[in-house]
Amino acid sequence: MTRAEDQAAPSDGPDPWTAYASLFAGLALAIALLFVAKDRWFIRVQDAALGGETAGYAGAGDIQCQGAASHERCLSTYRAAGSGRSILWLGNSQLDAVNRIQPGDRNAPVILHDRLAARGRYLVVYQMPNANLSEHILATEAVLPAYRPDVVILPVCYDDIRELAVRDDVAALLEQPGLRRRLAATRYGRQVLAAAGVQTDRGEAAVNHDDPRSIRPKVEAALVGALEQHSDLWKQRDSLRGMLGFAIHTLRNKALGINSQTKRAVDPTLYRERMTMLGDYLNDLRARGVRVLLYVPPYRQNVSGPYIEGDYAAFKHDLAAMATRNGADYADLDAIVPGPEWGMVTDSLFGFQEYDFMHFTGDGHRRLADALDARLQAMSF
Amino acid sequence: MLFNSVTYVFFFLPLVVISYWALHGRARLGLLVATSIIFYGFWRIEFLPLMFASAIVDYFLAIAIDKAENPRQRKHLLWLSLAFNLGVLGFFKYLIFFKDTLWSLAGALGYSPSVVELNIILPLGISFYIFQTMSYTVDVYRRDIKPERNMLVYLSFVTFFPHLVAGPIMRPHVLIPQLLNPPPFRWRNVRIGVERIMAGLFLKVALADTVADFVNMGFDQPIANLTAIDSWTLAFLFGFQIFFDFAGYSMIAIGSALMLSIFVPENFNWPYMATSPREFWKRWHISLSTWIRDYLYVPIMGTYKAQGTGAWDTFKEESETRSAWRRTTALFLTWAIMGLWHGANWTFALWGIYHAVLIYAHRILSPLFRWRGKAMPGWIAWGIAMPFMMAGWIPFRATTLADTFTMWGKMVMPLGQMGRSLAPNSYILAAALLLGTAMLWFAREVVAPRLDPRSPVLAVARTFTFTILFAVVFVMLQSRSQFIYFQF
Repeated sequence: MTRAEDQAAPSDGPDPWTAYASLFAGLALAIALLFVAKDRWFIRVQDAALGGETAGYAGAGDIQCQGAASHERCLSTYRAAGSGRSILWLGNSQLDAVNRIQPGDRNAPVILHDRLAARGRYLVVYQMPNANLSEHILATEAVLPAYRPDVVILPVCYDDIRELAVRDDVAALLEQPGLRRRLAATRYGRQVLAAAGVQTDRGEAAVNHDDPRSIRPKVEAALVGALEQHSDLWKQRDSLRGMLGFAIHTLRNKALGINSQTKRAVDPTLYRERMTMLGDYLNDLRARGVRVLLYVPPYRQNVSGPYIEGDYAAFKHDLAAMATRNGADYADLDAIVPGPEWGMVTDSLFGFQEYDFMHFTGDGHRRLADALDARLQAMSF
Repeated sequence: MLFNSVTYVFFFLPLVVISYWALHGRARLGLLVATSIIFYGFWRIEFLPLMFASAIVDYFLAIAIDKAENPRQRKHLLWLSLAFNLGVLGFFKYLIFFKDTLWSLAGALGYSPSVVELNIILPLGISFYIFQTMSYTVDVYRRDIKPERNMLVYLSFVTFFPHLVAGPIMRPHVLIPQLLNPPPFRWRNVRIGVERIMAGLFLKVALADTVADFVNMGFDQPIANLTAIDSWTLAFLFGFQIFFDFAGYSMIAIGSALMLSIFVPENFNWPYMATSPREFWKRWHISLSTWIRDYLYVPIMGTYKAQGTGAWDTFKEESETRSAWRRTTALFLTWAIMGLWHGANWTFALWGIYHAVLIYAHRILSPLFRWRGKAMPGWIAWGIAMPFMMAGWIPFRATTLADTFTMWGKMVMPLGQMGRSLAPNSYILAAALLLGTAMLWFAREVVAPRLDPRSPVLAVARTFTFTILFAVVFVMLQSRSQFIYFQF
């Protein structure tokens, strides 16, 4: 006659000393492990994502934004510059990360910004690592009213076409007045809203833990701040978290034999949907009088890459046809950066070295800026 | 306050444990009530009176029920308690849902009622503390327990912070005696408490929150885009997310209480290793499923007769004599209510009914399917039960009935739906979690019991495990999200 809820409490029998020894040894080893990780294995989170060779950034924070967090700063810079005629460039980490950076190297947005400035135009860039079409559309729609650009430069990276989710920092741009309503009025916009999780999210608790009427977030922030002040190990938790994620990522790749050259197919159904979404958006921009320069971003040519060649060629063909159909300008820039100007994704922590198909050197950035500059001049900008 | 917060782990809990053992007698109970108020008030102070009102009403009604000799009067007092508790729950949790349903129905019938906007905040943990006080009154009515007359003991029982907002739901006959006669301090309990808390935090901050990112990405995209493989993957991923989340919460609750030498019953027992739907519910959210059985299923069956012996015992003796129709009705009604208890949405009712169908189907079909004249081997039964359990999480997570049926449709008719649209790591993660769970079960339940508790192999394995737990929890501890069951 035993009820499930009446299960016996832990017995009061002998408690082996090894149980305590294991617990304390585990705690001591964990602390030692964390200190070794912090002092010996330390890597920057961005370095982990991009690789040791691509660890340089040509800082141009005032014209290169990542999302809502930096939007106001970029907008202030634009207003300080006189709010003149502008050009908006969307992109991913290719635009800011410089491989094997040398003193004096500048990235493509900075180079192009200066050239356009000389012709009386202001270039502003919104970029996010691995940015996808949903994020590009959301960011464009969020900032269009503020910059009123003459041209939107939109790269379509074949590898990113499979992704649709909108990350938090970009989704935060939805707070721009009227943006949700505008997006909800179009089919592509509704797809973007869905990707941004605008619908009720059953995965989150109903009670907002950042409720301003709750004292919990305030106390938590104060205590975390105090710990950061007094513990260097605690302060480094972000980097340790990044290192842990990187280790898991590497383990996955090792276990499954994945490297940067592993072929990655794009699902045909997804591909069609994303291309339809892009076509709808281009058509809408044209209807609103916004010119678009659509381009295929540089892609390493001297070694076999992750794209399936036939699919990639069809993609470029489809993109060119779509640009023609929707009155957009088109540039195929995939071969403009020669092999030596690309680098390797290297990592000192796990010691791997793979071909980088996304980031190039300062010379490569100059070539990208040259190519786009030429296209813009051909478009009379 | 969140269990997965710096505030709780590094400050609140250590202070409570040290203070509790420094005090004696009633002062300890005072400490428990005071700290429970702080624990709950960290969310919103203004909802504390509601919790105390619910508790105090039942305190006095239980005493009145116990004093009353007239059965009619006792029943009236019980109904008063039920009406009050269900009224509070109905107002805060279901009013908007009922209004929306009525308005939709009116719209479907051609009426267009004027728009009424209701803005009601769901108080944290209301479903749990209401169930707790309701069962207390019912137990007193059934004369299974005597009412607790000491208000401090009673309030300690209702507000005991480790289980206040999301269970495990504790019966009065389990918790009140421990509050009245607290067991002595034992290092063993502190050690096991720390181990359970670390394991629970690992499940929450390292696993549940990580899996949640993939689940949210999957469910946030248009459901029509999902394929059969995507839908199955999301079902498995959410199944693991909610398990890690809720089992993690329960472990922290059990561990926290154990550091005070208070025993809280287990809430989970390897649910995904269940070989049948019935067994699943003996392993999943045990405190709720037994509560529902004793306070809902048994009364609906009409089998509770003998007072003072406990509903379940009576049920066991009587259930076989009940008609099949009555048993089936009780099964479906109970599960529909259990579904709605989780949330005010028809998807939750569907979730409950889905499980009723599974249990009913298993009841009917299991005798027909034999393996060489015997019951089906465990591994085959597990292979059949597991996908059904996971598919059941779709209505729990999907936002609408339409989304649920779209995903289920793709899962059962996968032809032409074999593409993949989720982040590639989603599939790898789902496979890794399935394999990891099976391996861990094998190590814990098959290998470990055969080893001498003092064997060096076990000591090394435990040390390695704790090293990982401490290091990962230290790195990952942050209140990224609340526990899923906080919303219920």
